[in-house]
Amino acid sequence: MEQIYENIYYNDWEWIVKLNILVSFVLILLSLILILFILYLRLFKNSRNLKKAEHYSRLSDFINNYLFDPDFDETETENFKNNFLKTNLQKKITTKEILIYNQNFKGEANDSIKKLFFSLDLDNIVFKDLKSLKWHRRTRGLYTVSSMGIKIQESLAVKLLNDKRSEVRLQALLYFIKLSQKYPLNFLYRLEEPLTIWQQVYLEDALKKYEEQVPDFSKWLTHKQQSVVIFCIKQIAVFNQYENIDQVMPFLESPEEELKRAAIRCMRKIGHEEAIDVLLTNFATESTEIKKEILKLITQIGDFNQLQTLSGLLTGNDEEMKIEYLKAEEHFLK
Amino acid sequence: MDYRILIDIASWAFLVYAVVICSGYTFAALFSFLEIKEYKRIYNLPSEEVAMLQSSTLPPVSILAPAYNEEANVVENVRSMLTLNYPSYEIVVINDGSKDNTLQRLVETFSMVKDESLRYNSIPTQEVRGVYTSTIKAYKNLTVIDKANGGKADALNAGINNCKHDLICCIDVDCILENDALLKLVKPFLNNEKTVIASGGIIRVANSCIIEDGRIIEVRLPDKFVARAQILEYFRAFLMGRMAWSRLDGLLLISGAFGMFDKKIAIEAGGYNHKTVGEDMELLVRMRRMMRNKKIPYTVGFIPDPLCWTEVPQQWKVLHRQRNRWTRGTMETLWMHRKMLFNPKYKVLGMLSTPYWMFFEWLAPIIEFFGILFIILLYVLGFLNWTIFLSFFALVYFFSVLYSITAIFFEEYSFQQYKKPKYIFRLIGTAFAEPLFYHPFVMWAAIKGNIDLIRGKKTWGAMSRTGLSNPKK
Repeated sequence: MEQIYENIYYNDWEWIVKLNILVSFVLILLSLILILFILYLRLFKNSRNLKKAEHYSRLSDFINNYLFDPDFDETETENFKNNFLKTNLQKKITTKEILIYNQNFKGEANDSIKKLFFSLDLDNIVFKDLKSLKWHRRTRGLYTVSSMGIKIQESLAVKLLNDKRSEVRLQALLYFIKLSQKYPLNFLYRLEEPLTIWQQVYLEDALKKYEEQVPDFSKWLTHKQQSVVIFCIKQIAVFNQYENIDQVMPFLESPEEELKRAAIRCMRKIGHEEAIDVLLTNFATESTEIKKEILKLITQIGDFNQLQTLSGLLTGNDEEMKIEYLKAEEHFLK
Repeated sequence: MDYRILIDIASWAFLVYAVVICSGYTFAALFSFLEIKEYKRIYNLPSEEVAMLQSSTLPPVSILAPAYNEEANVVENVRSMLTLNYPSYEIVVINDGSKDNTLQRLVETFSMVKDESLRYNSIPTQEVRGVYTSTIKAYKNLTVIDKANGGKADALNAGINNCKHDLICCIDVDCILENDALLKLVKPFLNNEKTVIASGGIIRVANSCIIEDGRIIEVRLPDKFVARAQILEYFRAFLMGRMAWSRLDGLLLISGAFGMFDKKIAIEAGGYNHKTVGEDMELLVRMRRMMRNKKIPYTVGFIPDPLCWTEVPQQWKVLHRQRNRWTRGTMETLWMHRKMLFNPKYKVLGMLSTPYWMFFEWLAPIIEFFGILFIILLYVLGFLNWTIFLSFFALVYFFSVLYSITAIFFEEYSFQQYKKPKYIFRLIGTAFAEPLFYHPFVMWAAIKGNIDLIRGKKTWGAMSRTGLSNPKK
């Protein structure tokens, strides 16, 4: 250090030239290493794709024989397991392919596919995945068990339901719905984290595919997570649960705007006219967004007289609301 | 004071700046790598996209596409947008006072008639001459706004005023979107516990790619060096720069070519500012600033998938105009929001993002330019030590080559869009030539941008394009 200081002091820059040359060589070396790495990556990906294609073809033949060849011998399964399920890639591809077959086949073929999954010991990999510290493995594991209909320990499922990663939580939600016999949404009681809209979309889709009786969504209208309540209000409209309208009505007066908006939209979809009178009482104190929702509600399920009670909007200062009112009026007078 | 001391001070100042900038880039590369690795894991997860596309719960989106003198391609571009994979969206094309037949082409092709419905203008704009909707059911989600010319920002504001949905996706009408672009871009808005005010994606270079029915069929590397150099620039900017800022939640820019915004928040912030040529960056900074001032927890999403393809300038003159404008836009935005600079109240934005943009984006070409002048001065005065100069030159050159090669590595590691092996070699070759033959030109365009701004230039400058037609196979 002292030497460097002295060099700088006496304007001896030779040391910096040496340093620059050294660093330049390091940079060149790093560039070359990276170029080699890029080429290796390209070769690696190409070779992996080839291996994938090869394994897919072999696997496809094997599964087709397993399913449809009457002379299929059980020892072939053992042979396949011992010879072609050695690497992680092979195990991953096999699991993925079995999941596709499982999705596409029903009845006896589906039972056989499930049996094959266990015969190949793929369940062991899945259980390892579920307990992995890596979130993407936990997600993959959950996806597999819910697709294959494999039950896992309740405590583990609940733990994953409240995982810190939203991807894991989503798969846990789907697991509970897909594997439930009677009460697909009972897991909501144990849900600590809020539901994102992305998760709600998946849940709604899973519920639409649910073959048993759709649950009574009003059970969770008192849930501590606001997102769960909003989801249930939406589903009451989606599944036309008219019997639950009375339980949604109080949300029209909720101080929480999101809840109020969900309730108004629910009323609109279900066509519950009585909601309009409740909403008109407090119209003046509502936010612009809620006022717009109410006007939309009147336009769709109300009548011209109800709209006229809001004609005061025309003399107010809010230009946006004036136009919204006129648009609604135009709708009735058309 | 001995002038030799002044020269020493200047030399040290340049050196310190170079060390800071290189360290900044190194950190950006590290952060980006972590972000890409994470995204790859999400990308490879099993998903049921079909479920999403059938869901009525997905929020509808309004695509806003300003068009100015786009007669040649506008119909094809709109047709391509009409086939996007998303359950509910509308397309709003804003004809910003085109001097050609853009409006007529749209009206005739899509059988459009004037819609006299009442509309509320949340943001003031130039006169809207008419709003057109189609009489054909298949095009019911297409609206054309015809307005007096007011520039891109003004056109987008007119689009915001006239669109129906709460999420707006602002795009350049000549961009090519991937089929699932909207679905991917909307995800951050839906899968976040914080309020998401905007989300952006990676822009890719479409020059020389094979395009069919408005979709990229095969990704090809352009033959022209200037276009290839821009591919490297885009890799560096998106795969390294913005990925890193996204990880730190410090993004200040969502490309004007493709970005999604929460309409309500955009209106509350005042919409696009037509007084700057960097309206895309300025809007996001203003929205972020507003959210911070209101103390509402929020974030900005970023999707590293290649979702949007654009044509980059292949003529040096056009490139010069583009970079000149980008510099002016950056400078104007930084000046308008100078209170954020080093202001701890704005956290990452104040202490990292805005200083980064000031020192690394705006000041970098200026300092580089003065560095070159300084070298010339030393040479003229006879003080230039060639050994030292060449050693520094080699150092900087190899650092920039390494940085570009790292960007190629990131591309190869993540999306591997350039499939042919020869493309990799050509890109590596470009990485070696770019610092010598491309970078000085871009630096000069930025310097001119600064000069033009000081002189009060406010125009965009014509951006003539060669068009994304298919090259010979």
